Amino acid sequence: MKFSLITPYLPSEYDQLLALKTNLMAQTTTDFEWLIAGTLPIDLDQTEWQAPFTIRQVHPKASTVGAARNAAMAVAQGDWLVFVDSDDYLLPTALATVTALEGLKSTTFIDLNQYPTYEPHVSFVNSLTQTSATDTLPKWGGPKRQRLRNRSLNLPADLLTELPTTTPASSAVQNWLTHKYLLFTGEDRFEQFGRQAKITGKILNRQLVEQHHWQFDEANALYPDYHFLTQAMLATPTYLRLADPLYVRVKHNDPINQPSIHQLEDPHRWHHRLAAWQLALVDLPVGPLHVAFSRFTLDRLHRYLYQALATSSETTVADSPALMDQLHDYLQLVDPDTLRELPHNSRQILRAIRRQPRVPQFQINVLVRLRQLNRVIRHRGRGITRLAYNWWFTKLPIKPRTILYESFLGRNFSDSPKAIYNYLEKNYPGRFHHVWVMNPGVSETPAGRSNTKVVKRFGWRYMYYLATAKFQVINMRQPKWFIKRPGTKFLATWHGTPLKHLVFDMDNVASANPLYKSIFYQQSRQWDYLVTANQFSVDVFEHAFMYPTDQMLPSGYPRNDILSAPDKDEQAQQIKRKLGIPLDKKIILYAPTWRDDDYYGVGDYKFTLKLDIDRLKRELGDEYVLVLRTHYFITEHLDTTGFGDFVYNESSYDDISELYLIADVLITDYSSVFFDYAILKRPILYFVYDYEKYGSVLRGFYLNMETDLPGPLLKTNDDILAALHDLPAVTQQYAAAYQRFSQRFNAWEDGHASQRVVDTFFADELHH
Amino acid sequence: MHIYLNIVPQAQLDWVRLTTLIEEVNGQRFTDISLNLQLPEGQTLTSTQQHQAEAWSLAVGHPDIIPAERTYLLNLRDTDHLLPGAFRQWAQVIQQHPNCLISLATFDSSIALDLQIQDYLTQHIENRLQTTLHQLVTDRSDTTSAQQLALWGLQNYSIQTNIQSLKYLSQRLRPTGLLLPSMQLFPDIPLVSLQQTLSLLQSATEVIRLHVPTIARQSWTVTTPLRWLSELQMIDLDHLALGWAPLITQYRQQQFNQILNVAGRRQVSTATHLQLLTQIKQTQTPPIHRWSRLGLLRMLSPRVAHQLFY
Repeated sequence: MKFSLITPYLPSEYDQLLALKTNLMAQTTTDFEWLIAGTLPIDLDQTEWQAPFTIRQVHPKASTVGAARNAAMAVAQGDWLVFVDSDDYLLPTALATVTALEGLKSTTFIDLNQYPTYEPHVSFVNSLTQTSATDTLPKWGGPKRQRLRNRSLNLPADLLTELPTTTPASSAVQNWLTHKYLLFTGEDRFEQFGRQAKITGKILNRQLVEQHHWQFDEANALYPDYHFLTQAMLATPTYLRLADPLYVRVKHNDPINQPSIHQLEDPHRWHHRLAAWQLALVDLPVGPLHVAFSRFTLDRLHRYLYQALATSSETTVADSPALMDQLHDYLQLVDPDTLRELPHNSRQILRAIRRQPRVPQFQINVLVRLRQLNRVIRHRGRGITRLAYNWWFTKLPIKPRTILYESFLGRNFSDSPKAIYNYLEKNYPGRFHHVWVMNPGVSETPAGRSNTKVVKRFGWRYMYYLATAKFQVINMRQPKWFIKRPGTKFLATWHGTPLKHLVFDMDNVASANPLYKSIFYQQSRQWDYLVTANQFSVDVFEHAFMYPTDQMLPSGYPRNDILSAPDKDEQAQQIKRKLGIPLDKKIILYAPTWRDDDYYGVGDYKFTLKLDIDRLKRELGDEYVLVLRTHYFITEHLDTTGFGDFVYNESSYDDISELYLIADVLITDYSSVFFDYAILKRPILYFVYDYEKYGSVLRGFYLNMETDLPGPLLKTNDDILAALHDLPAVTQQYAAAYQRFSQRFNAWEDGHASQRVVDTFFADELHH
Repeated sequence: MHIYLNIVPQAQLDWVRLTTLIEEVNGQRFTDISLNLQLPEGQTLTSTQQHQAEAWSLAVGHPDIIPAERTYLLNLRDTDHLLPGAFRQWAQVIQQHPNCLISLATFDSSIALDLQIQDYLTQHIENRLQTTLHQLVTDRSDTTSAQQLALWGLQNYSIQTNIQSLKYLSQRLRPTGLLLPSMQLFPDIPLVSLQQTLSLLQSATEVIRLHVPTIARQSWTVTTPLRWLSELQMIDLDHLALGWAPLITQYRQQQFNQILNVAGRRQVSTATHLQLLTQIKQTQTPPIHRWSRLGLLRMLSPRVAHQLFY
């Protein structure tokens, strides 16, 4: 047998182990056995475990990864050992490519070439169905600068027939041209050491391993590989890496629920790491590998240790005296020349520890601050205000009556923060100082109102108030570097009833920041209260945000109070006047969602608005006007000049609630605007011309669009026109559904949400 | 997999060069190709040439392409050259990425190929693929074969999605020297035209770039500036897809300026130079750089500009 694939697994990793089995089934060769090593017994006789290759289960003595790999190696029968982790996967030709390599010696250290991604196997396989390309890789998940740009091209063997007869090509060259790889030998043997120092995706000769009795460290749960790897490197004069990646390493994008070993929060992580390094280095003779390993580990210390030890750091390192003892001992072992290669400050710190096992705290703090400052200088001053926030503003006393508001990241003066602000100013004038965060260029701001300041987002005053205001009222997320100071209170108003799956309910967030889930989790822990519009939202937020229900305010949305106000009709007339809409005309509000796939439909922008405005004007122009509320990108390319006073483009209008108030009927699609509009109990039509195409997206919705909506799903302009011509019939037909919908989503919206939120959130302040 | 090689002479057909090109093609012993010669209007082959063309299986006229996913069209000038192994390298890329526009890196056909290859290999001396190949090749003599082998060893490609990038437009927009997917060709537009490649590029979501040269050619700016100018002027800016009009305007500016730069080096006759200046001056687009030749031409008459630039 050619290969023994070794995969350790934890009891919680059953599903991903099964996914890996599916992946291995796609290998173009079956000349391998798969050894799965873990403590959870698996019944391999089940149908789902049947495969065209041998699968064997191994029970390790201990539950560590090292013990699992050792147990598997002990029973392996293949010529070569291949190390594959249960969350990773192989490209279909991986094993066949290695099989095809000629002249492999037992002392070759083979690397399948790791490719990092956040995309799990299932999602990658799904993406393959949309392309005819045969070399597709998942989305790059490594550092941006190291992104794989150029792919090496393997060539057919008959290419050599084109060379003149005096060909210098041997069969080894021919073999190489068809399966290109990179060789590192001699002086270059330990180049790119970081890539070599990971066991996953590596292939080693089994006899070589057995002959030297190499073992993984069973006691070190976090870093079991270094000793094994360095010993293997020592005995293999050649490192061979395939030119094109064949091993996909999946990084976990949900470190909260599903952390990888490297993401596990462990205050003793540095202790484990140093122990592993020490074990490895002590067994290395003086020579190139000793130098390479010293250099590699010193670089790790230089990059990551100081941040963890700085006084300002949030990460906790347990028992730093013990860590210093360990580091002191380790530094005695490293190659002294490599220490000299480090930058001055870093060298001084490590030399100090080498002399004496003590944390040179002052030097470390200085270095960390210099690094922060250096980052600002490199970005030509960008981030200087944030540095001031971090270094100084957060040390200033808290202003007990100041409230900081932010709506849609400063894009407008709107939403629940605006409603809360208005309520406070009306009912408690002069009690608070209000600070609004606004981007430059926003036309409608509360500037000039009493007790109110407007500050520019990320500007100096913004940083000052972000650090010192006692109250923060924000409807999206605060910056990820925000420091929640003791004594301050944070109100997250959020900005809508969830329609599409959020955060922890999303299958895969490979397209956004891969650490989105973890960042969101940290940010939401800083919220003291979360405003919710209905019981449905409470239930969703509980799992989607993993947010405790007792910190949610079951109040309804303050922004929707205007829709239940007793004087809403007068307000509507005023808004109509403000927008220049004739008072005798009824209003259709069209608010479609932004389809980001339109981006690829070249030349499609002008036609993105699928609603036939011309026909609408022709048939309904006497009675109605159309108010458009779309994404600015569509709006900018939309030519409405031919429609005279029939179309009002209010896409940049600050407060959508005011548009709801004047609209007699709403046309929308997959946008969550209808939750709010339904409070008015006016008709809603869903213009879903691309409903079939949206199938996969709809699966990621909390609502069943077929059964849960308070209005009809209409796919053509004919249907829309027919419905508009006879709205009473639509209202009648959907009366029951509308009632169910209102009961489910708008039961709390009685026009007093602002009051409930203010009374709870500012309770202490108002009662004093 | 099939490649239609369509040869379009730049002016009067150069039979000797055509013969060289055909020999380069046949030397590759690649079977899945159709050869075609698209003669300029008014030109015909002599009877001897016709016989030879038949012997080469070289069809004369407009190529009759049967579109398929892995069928491609490559327009070449008779003065262009193919490097050994070109077809097999393209075939590998087409295999990986059917139906995608493939942009080819090129050598300059006016400079000795050996020197260029040597330069290229020296530039990539640190490339690990080349050092690996050196370890495997036992015969280290610096022969042509060894050089060619090294080029094959270095061959690589990238999948580029930044379609609307000005920087790369000259690589992706040219009437000859691009592998065009047959299924995406626009039958109403001349096969050998800027319009054809521009239409194709506008509808593309990705372009494959083969980085090691497989052909040697010269740009139309150098060989046929008047023809290139008319190709550039033929683009209808009002009917481009969204975002393309400003990009192509800039691209045209660059190309006009380049035409003036190249022509100014006495690459063309006085009459042609004057004609170029007159035609470019008639183009209404304002120049982006005032102090470029194009910018100065706005302020001068073509005759004065000719005195100044030529």
